[in-house]
Amino acid sequence: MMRKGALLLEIVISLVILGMVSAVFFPAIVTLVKRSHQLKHAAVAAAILQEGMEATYNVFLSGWSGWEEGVYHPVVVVGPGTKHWTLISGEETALETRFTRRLEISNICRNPRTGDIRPNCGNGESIDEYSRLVTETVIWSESGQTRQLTTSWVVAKI
Amino acid sequence: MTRRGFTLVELVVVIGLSGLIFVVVSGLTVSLLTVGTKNRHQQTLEQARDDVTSDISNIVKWREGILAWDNNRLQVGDVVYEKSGDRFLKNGVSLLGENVVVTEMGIENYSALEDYPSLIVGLKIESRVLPQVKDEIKLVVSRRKTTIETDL
Repeated sequence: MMRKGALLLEIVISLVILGMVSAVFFPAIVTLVKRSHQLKHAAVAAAILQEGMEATYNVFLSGWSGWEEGVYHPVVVVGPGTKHWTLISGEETALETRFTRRLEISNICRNPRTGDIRPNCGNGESIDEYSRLVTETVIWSESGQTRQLTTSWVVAKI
Repeated sequence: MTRRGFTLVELVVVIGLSGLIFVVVSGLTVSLLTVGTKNRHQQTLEQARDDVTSDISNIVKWREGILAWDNNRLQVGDVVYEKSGDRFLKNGVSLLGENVVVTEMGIENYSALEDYPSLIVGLKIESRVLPQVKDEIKLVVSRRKTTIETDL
């Protein structure tokens, strides 16, 4: 039996097939890893968002006045024997190394007849002194893309 | 020239290549199986985290009654959460299932108001079956004010 060069051809074919299989699976694996990181970051962002909401609620409950319209972020004030939330001006950066958090406090207008609220006052509407609109945003960067989670809620003085 | 069978070099190359393929494929298979098992236990911990977060959040926010805590125990009205050994109990019943171990628990209050605490509940959990699979729960929850004060 004469065999010349068959082994080399077989190896070349095997390598080509291996290359083709790798070319199909490699992007899928990269996508899966990327997706896993995205989900992890989104979960951390959601926890940061939740923390901001709870802290803001407690701050407004502790003292209604003094919170003018503007951008804030929550911090913990440590005193003798106590720790408590407060808000300070400006946004918070490098949270958990990659997240930025901003809490925007705005006045809202209420229609005295219907009770409806909205950001800008229309005819017959006035700023509601007992309600504030809080919009919280957590921003982070991922693979060169900016992502964000936002939530808004109304806090009322009760 | 007539050839029968393979030369020694061909056999060595084939055996070498087969060995290489075997090592790569078996390595991949083992790592896939490990990742699969790890993911399953990770999911169990994530489920435990979601259960604890939602349970404690609702109770602390809305349940009426005394609210008291130390590092291993949280009482809200008639509901008591506690770390007992390596388990996390709610009124004496395990909240996380048999396969989740609680290694650490801690509670801090960040509220200036005595009646309306803002608690940070921290729990470190790990899988009983695969202890290298760990997770950390950090839950921030403020008690809600549900009564309206009026001068009327």
